[in-house]
Amino acid sequence: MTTAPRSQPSPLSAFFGRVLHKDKTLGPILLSPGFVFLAVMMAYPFFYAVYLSFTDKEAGSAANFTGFENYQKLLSTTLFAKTVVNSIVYTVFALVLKFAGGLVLGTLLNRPFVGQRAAKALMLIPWIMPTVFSTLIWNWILSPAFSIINEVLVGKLHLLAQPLPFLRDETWAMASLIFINVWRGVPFFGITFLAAIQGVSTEIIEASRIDGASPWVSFWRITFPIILPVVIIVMLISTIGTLGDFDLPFLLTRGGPNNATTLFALTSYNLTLGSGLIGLGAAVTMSMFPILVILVIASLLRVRRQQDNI
Amino acid sequence: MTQSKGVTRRTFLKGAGAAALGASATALASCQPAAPAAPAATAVPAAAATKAPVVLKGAKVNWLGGPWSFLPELDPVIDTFCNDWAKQNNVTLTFEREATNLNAKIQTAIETGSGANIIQLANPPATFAKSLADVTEVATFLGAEGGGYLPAGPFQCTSAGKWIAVPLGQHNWFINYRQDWLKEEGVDKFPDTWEEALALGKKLKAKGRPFGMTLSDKAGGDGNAAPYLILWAFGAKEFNPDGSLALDSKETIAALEFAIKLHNEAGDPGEVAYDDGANNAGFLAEKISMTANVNTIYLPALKNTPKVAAGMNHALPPKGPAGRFGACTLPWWGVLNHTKGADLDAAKDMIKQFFSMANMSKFYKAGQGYILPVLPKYESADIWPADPKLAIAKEMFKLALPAGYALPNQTKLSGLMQEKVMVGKLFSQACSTGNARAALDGVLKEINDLKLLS
Repeated sequence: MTTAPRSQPSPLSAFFGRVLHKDKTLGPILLSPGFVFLAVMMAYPFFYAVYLSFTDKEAGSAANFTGFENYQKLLSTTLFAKTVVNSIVYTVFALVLKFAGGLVLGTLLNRPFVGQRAAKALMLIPWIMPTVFSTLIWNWILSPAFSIINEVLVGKLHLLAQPLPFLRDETWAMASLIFINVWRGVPFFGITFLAAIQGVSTEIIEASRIDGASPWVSFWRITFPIILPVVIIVMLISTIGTLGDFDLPFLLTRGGPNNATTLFALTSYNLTLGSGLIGLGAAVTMSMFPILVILVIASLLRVRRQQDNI
Repeated sequence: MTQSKGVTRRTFLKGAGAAALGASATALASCQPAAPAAPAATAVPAAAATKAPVVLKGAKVNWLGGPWSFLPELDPVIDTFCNDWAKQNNVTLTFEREATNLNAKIQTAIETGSGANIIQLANPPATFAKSLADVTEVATFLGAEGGGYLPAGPFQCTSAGKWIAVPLGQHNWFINYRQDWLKEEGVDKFPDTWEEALALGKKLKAKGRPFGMTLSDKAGGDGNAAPYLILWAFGAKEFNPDGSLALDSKETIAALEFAIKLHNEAGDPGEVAYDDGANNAGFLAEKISMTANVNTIYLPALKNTPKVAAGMNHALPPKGPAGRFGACTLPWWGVLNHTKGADLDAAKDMIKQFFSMANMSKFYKAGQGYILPVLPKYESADIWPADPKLAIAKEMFKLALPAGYALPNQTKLSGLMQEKVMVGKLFSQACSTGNARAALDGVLKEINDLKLLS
């Protein structure tokens, strides 16, 4: 009996065969498209922004290296001081309120009640509604000239003599901004916390109740520590988003009144695209970076410690 | 001394695609530069614009500006003429209108060297002086045709002895008031002085008919005009002729203190945060009895709210201790200096042809006083509105001053102050807090920031 000779693989396919069968080479090959994408779309812009922040770059002119001059200039302005304070106030208050609101919402939705599914769907509306759309609605509600709330309280019900200064008083404007951010963000916190709470074993909770723990104690001593990694990650994501928030102040207040609601991203936008001061705008953006790095490292360390304890 | 080795965007960006993530600065800098310009060609003489279809052939002109959102009838006047001109000269012309982020688009066009050749804007061109082409030849030609510019024209559009833009015209702010409501108070016309206006405003506010001046920094148009009617009337100004800041004066404090009284005793509480449309909407909704505006309350009222149109009238701004002052903003067209060769010739020629008196009269007439010329020969031209309630336009024609007065020309600082609506902010702060001195100190600090940053 004769057998047909086995055809020899070509050198090229043999080479690919060897490469694709080795873990050492397959891993980098599979990672490379993602790596290239991240390098071009994120790392390059980031490092270029770092570079620009050390230059006197203006729209239409060449960039000259000026060291820390942009940062020194920024530190000597009231605009930057206000930007930093506003951003911190906005982020801290919004996060605390979103955390508290989300926790309450998640806990309440974990209890069975009639219409629970509908409630879950309805509460997501602020989160899924396009920000531009919802902010324009809020703009009407809080408008200095035609606020519907003022129209009702002052004009129809005569409960107030003067309209509430939602967007024309510095404190009220910041409070309005925080309120809308919380209104928009609580559903995300609530639904994420709910998912985490539902993952906690009911047996542990029941055991604690048998041992005499009140629902309050049971929640803070058992449920909350178990969902803490989720809480930390959600807080981290939200911190990054809130600190860098642009659309809300841009659409609602344009940073006013008197720069009382200007945040990092809006100040950077105004300097860069409003005034053409690209180097300074980049420096504003970069000044946010150390805060975010510290937050990310602290949060991840906390999560790791928590996981080690478990 | 700082190191000044120039690094071009092209060098840095070689091989990189447009990247949008991260800082907006990066997004700006990541775009690709323009293609090389077409070879130069000779511009068509103004008079031959509709006859000679060859010399600008192949040129491309992209026009970028805001829509005339308060008077949309003006857009087609521009489009019709310029499209005809482009067709007859074989020029490819595109229009891009951006209502909310025009500055950002212009900065992007400047940085990328593409996307726009001609730009239309109202804030001073001095802010973009480094990026605008010299259009002295065009402006000089048009100035000679119109009998020499009124002072506001060169004030707005020249820099370092050359024209960097051509003034399209001037928007004048005058008093829009409810004459029928005044008659109920026994007054036939709007008062001639601010003090008398305050006394009248108190009575009107008591009846739920407050004044609604835009004393706000949220309005790039009204906020850069209405507060000046008070500021200048009290003898205050932003700058001295030598370029130094003149805002820190007893006259400014007097103007602010009067504004605080006017706001508290006669004004709508919301006026300190009005945007450009709020006073129009408030007046049309019969919530305010007076505002400073152009004719963009009256014209829509004629169509949509005839009762308001019938009851309202216009008046000159009242006098203060220093006299009567009008305020104007001056839109202009300029050519970005990345425009070269035939494209540059075409852009300049399009401006020259569109702005020529024979054509521009149609544009002014369509505005019915919304936009007025800055050339005196138009005084006898057929551009003035026939409606007696708009006769105010001709009275305002030579009265108005632009923000930045009393500089010899607009500067980068005065331009940035208008972009940030600093005087609007000054009045808004003073009226919100009731503290003129603190408001002035705060705004002076911010102006100092602008000086430092720019």
